[in-house]
Amino acid sequence: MGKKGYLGEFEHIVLLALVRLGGEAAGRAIYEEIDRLASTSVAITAVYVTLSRLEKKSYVSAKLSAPTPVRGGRATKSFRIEAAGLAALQRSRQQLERFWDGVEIGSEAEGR
Amino acid sequence: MMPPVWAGCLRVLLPPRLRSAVMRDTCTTFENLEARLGRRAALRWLRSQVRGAVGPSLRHRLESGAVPMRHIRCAVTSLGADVRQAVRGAVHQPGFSVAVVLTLGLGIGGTVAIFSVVDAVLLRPLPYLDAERLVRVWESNAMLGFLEDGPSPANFLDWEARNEVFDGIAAWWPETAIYKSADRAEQLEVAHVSGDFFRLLGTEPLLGRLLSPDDAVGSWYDNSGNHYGAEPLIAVSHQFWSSRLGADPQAVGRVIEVNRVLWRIVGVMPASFALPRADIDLWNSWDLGARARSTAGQPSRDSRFLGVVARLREGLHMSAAQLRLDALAAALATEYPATNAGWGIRVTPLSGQLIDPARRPLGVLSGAVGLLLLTACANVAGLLLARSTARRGVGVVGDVRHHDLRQGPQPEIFLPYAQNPYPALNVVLRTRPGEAPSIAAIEALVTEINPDQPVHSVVAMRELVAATLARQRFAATLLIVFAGIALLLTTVGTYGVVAWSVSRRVRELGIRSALGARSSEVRVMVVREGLGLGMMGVLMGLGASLLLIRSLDGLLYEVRSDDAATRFIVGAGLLVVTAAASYLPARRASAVEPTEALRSE
Repeated sequence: MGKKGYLGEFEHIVLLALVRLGGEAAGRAIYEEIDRLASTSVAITAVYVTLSRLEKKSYVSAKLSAPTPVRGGRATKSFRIEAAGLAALQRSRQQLERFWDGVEIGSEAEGR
Repeated sequence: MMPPVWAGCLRVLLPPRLRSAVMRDTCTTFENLEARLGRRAALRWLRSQVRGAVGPSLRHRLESGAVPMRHIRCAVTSLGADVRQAVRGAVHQPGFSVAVVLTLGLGIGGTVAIFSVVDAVLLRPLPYLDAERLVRVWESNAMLGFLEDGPSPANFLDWEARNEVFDGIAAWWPETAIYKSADRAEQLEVAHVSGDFFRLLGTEPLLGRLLSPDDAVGSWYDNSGNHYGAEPLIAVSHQFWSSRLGADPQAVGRVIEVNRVLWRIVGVMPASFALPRADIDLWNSWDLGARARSTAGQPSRDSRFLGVVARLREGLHMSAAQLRLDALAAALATEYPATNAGWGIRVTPLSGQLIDPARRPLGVLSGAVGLLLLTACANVAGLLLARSTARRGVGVVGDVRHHDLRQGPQPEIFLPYAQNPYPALNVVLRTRPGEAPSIAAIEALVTEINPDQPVHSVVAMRELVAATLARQRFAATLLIVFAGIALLLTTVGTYGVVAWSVSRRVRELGIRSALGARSSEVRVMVVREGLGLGMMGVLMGLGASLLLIRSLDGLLYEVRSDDAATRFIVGAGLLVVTAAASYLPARRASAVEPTEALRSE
């Protein structure tokens, strides 16, 4: 959970995944995108819990799509990134870049 | 299909709001993985999903202020309310509150005290190396009624020589001895132990070393203070070391005079060492065959007085050892029919021997304090329930008594002193009629006859008899106190419940008297209700006592455990108490003014 305006690491990742998926996607698609790129395994529950938190901060909005056209098919929830979410992503990126500016871990390590 | 166990775990973990979405996605992904990578990989993934769900689910519930936070807040709030109510109650009814607090305190304190004894006596292992392999070995003769008799020296020496089942076997016999220090002589308990005694127990000495088998070779001494064999060496108890030697760290090597022999101290035993008894002050080595050999005779085979402890061979079960010892006993009976016919050998666990005499009274005592605590809690709970819902409840505990005169008379042989002079003896004096017994006079008399003769422990016969029953008396006193508290608590509880019931029914009682019920009738009605509760309690208590009374078998003295009169008296007594406890509220009920009653709600 980031301080006001800043994103926690996993929030950052979830929002970026949503952006990569075109700004709107179902929970499972977001999970799959993260799972594809992450180096460690990710829990679906963690994705949904984070999405629910982002929803509360109004960084994303959720809507129920039409039920899948099969017997017993239920409405699926899809998430869309909001302007506030995009702004938060920007802030977090700039913040990180300020910190990364001039830092070269590789050369540091060699210098020692 | 996801295995139901894991699916169930996940479902339980998930916050309700996210449950259906997460379950559906997990299920779909699981099936995809299973089709692509096989069931094993899919299961591995599923397990990681369940593990990974724990943290986020918990955080979600806390963040969303959903269940746990509300519960926590709720619990804290109601705890505060409970505390406030308790304080208010304590202020309004201080007497009752003090009684409840005292009773709960006594109940808890008693339980803790008794448990600490139970823990030390019954639960802690013995302070000896591999104590479960240590056994007592006895001679037994079912025909004569001696099931656990100490063996005779000759039989013990044969057991030792032909032993096939023990890693070590040792004998002892305790004796009262005279210890002479610079300024006085006093009576102490000494244990003469055979060579292997300390080695087989495997206890570490506090100071110095243990008596070894070598120290025992040829060792014995006579009543005139002549010691034979090796150098006279002695081990002293922690108690002796701290009280007689001032806990001298240089005590090892000091020389003390016991039974006219000068002994060199080789070691100090730790306080936990209590074999053969806890009151032994000194241990010296004794070679059981040496005295007989010195006179070219044989050690006695029919005078059975030794205590024997042995260590079972590693991995050998006691029943297997018993079988081989049966064979040994049969062989000895054939070889020495005059002394050994009918005598068998019996092994029992050392731990059982040490704790058995204490086990029964301790069990009863802990049961009694437990019952007391239960009664206290039940009463307090019942009162609170009565207060909040006007329902009724009362606890009645059965009377528990405990008398233990332990053993019946044992066959003994009495010899005249002149025939069997013994360095320490007890003397019984009867003073002239009308003369008060004076300890100083007795001491003066003895010193006049023999200045070297210590006089100690002069006690009136009545006190001596009382002392032998001290433990039983203590236990009985405790039980009586507990029973008394339980009875008091029952009275208070009955009073509280009936009084509460009356205060809830002021209106009804007022109407009754407005309609012409006489105050005596109201009183009888209320008391009868209290008695009804009491009767139920007594019946339940009688039932419970029928179930539990077997635990008192053998502990009762001059009362049979199925004694009907006792039960009747106890039951009637409880009913009288109940009636008395109901009478006070009944009197208040009968004094209710109809007008006041009708205004009361």
